Amino acid sequence: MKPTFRIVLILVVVVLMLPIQACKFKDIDLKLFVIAMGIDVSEKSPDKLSVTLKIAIPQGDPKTSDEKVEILTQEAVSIAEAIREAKSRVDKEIDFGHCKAILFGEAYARKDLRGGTDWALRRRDIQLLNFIGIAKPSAKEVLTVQPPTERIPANSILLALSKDGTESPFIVNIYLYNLYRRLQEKGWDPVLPVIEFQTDDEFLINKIYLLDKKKIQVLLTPEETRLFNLLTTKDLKTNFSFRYQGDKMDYNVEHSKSNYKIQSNVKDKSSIDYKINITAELEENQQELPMNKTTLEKISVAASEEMNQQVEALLKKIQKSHLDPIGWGLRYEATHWNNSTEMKEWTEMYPKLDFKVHASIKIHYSGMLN
Amino acid sequence: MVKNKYFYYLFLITALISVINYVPRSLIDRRFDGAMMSILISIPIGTVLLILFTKLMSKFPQQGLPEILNGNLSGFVSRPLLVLYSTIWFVAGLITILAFVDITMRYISSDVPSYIVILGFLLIICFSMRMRTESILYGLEVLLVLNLPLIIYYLLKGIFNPYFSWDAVRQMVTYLWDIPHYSSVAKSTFVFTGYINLAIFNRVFENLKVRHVWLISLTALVTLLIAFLMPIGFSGVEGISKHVYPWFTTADSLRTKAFIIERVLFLFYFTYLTFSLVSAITSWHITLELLKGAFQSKQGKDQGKNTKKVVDWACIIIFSGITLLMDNLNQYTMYKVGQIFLDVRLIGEIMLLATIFLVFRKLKRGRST
Repeated sequence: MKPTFRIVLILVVVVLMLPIQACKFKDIDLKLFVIAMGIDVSEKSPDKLSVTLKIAIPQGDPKTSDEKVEILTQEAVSIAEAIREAKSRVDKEIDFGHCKAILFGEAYARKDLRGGTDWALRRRDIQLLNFIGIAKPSAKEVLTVQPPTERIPANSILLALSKDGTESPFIVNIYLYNLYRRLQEKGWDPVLPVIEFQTDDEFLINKIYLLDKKKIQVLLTPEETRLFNLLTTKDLKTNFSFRYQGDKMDYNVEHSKSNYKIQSNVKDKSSIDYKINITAELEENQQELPMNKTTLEKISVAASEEMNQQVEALLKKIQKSHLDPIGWGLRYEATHWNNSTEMKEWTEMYPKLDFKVHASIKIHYSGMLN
Repeated sequence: MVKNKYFYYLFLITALISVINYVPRSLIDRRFDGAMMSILISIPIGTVLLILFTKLMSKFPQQGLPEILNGNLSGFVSRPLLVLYSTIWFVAGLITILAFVDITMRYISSDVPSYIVILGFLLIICFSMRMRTESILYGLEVLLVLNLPLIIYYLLKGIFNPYFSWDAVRQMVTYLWDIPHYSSVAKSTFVFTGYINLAIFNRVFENLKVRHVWLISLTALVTLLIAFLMPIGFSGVEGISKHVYPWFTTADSLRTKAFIIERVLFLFYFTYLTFSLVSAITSWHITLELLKGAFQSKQGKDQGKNTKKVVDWACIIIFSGITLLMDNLNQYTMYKVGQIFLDVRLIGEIMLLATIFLVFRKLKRGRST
């Protein structure tokens, strides 16, 4: 075969492929991008779902753009059905490739949220990096919130949950894959942040729900949520208040680290031993108690003791709920080699466990004042 | 003639492509059934096979399998053998292509019919597999050098991710003492299997000596452990079995704040796009060369050149035809085919090794008498 003929042949093949290549692709101005979506139980009939889509409308110039959002709510028997029905209410193709948050309404999550999770994972175009949250009172209301600080549609929820923006110690962020693995795992239960509707331009994220393998169970208070965060993340940026001789004080955490060990050698005396190490600086000293080396040491001890009590109360509350949001069960399994019996041992042991918390807080710096 | 370092590239590309060829998923399916142990067992087995094969091939300097068999056995034996062995490489390439087309359909272009994606792949592979053996090695080197840093970046990103669950990994490690099955051992040894490409590539090695075999064993062990355990760290001991492509799920769970695009999935996809293309090209290049050897007449060079061309085009048409036909298989059948291939492959490799050894012994006896 002559080389020219070969080149001609390749060209012919390429040209033949051209018309079929782009037959189904849609241009960006023919698409509507869903940024966040919510799933609720329908108010009219309990068998139906109500799916809310928060859709960003593409703008030409990003500098002068004012937010353009469309919120679409559709009721149907399933999520897939609701989206198909919503499609006939808009002029452009709905695209989920940029969806970054999926909110479950509180009523929906109280029934069973596995359906929504399964749908999101099964869809090929929904990212596993979606933030999941429980919306209170409903996903629809939370999605309508438009804070005045928001520049890009739905960005405020995403910034808050991802901690790219505000770094609140009361926010726990859970990605879709993280929720799913905890729904499946033995000995590790999911938690989800609660996003509350306050007013039309404000929402509040400062609590978490503990879940079993199906639905939401126990709500933690903001204070407990912060402690939960302290136990599960490193270097939490937060303050903690404590009392020293009737005097109210606050310290700011510089470094924090917590780890635990499950002691199960002695029968019926098993315990989970927590060690919490914090280095901190004094931030507020309401009665202006003068500070020196010894008082710093004394207030450190007082703070540690208060921390011990608070954490122990939280752990007891978690234990009482029979849930395992920190993954102690998984740790027990991971450190034991009797794979066929370990889970049974753990479920018997867990309700009887004792908690020993040893917090050592070092307030090593009194701030800019003595 | 090329340097010895190209042998390591041949090994590396196969170790990396194991992620596409269903190795992690097969191991994950047997994770409570001896997968951990089979990873450990596969290391000595793979290393021994690698050493034996490279030693044997170095006795036949600058000869490929067709020359070794055709030169020392009668045509009635050597030709069917060459055709038989060529099918193993053909299926290897085929599975890589089909698995990757399936991934492309799921993650990138679900709106485009799959035969168009396959045609695009085939166009590149069929034209590149006819290149000279050296050129393929050079291309392989460039792609590996460009993409390895990226792969290492994703791995570090994953391992140091705060959501990576070491407890899940440790829980998996506690299943170490389960007795492994043959099939999971066969699947684990796949990471070593790059050495078998010497069957053709030995032609271009001047004087093959593989030094630092321990380095290859170590790389294989680390590759297997990461390929098996990293998806578990992200998707959980129980949850991982729910995912069709554990590694793409893992890549989708990673986020980079400051690198080209936020979702690691797409970067990972394009890295593996080049890997699977170059791996398929290598496999089919070997198939092609083996078939050329099988249908080549022993005497007469001009005639040989003509048959080469006929074999080339016949192969392109047949290979493409089979690939397009196989596209109709559903995902479960495809997975089954991949598994059977991985199981059969190990036996095939040992047979190939035995064949060459027999030829070598025959040759030695012929010389001594």
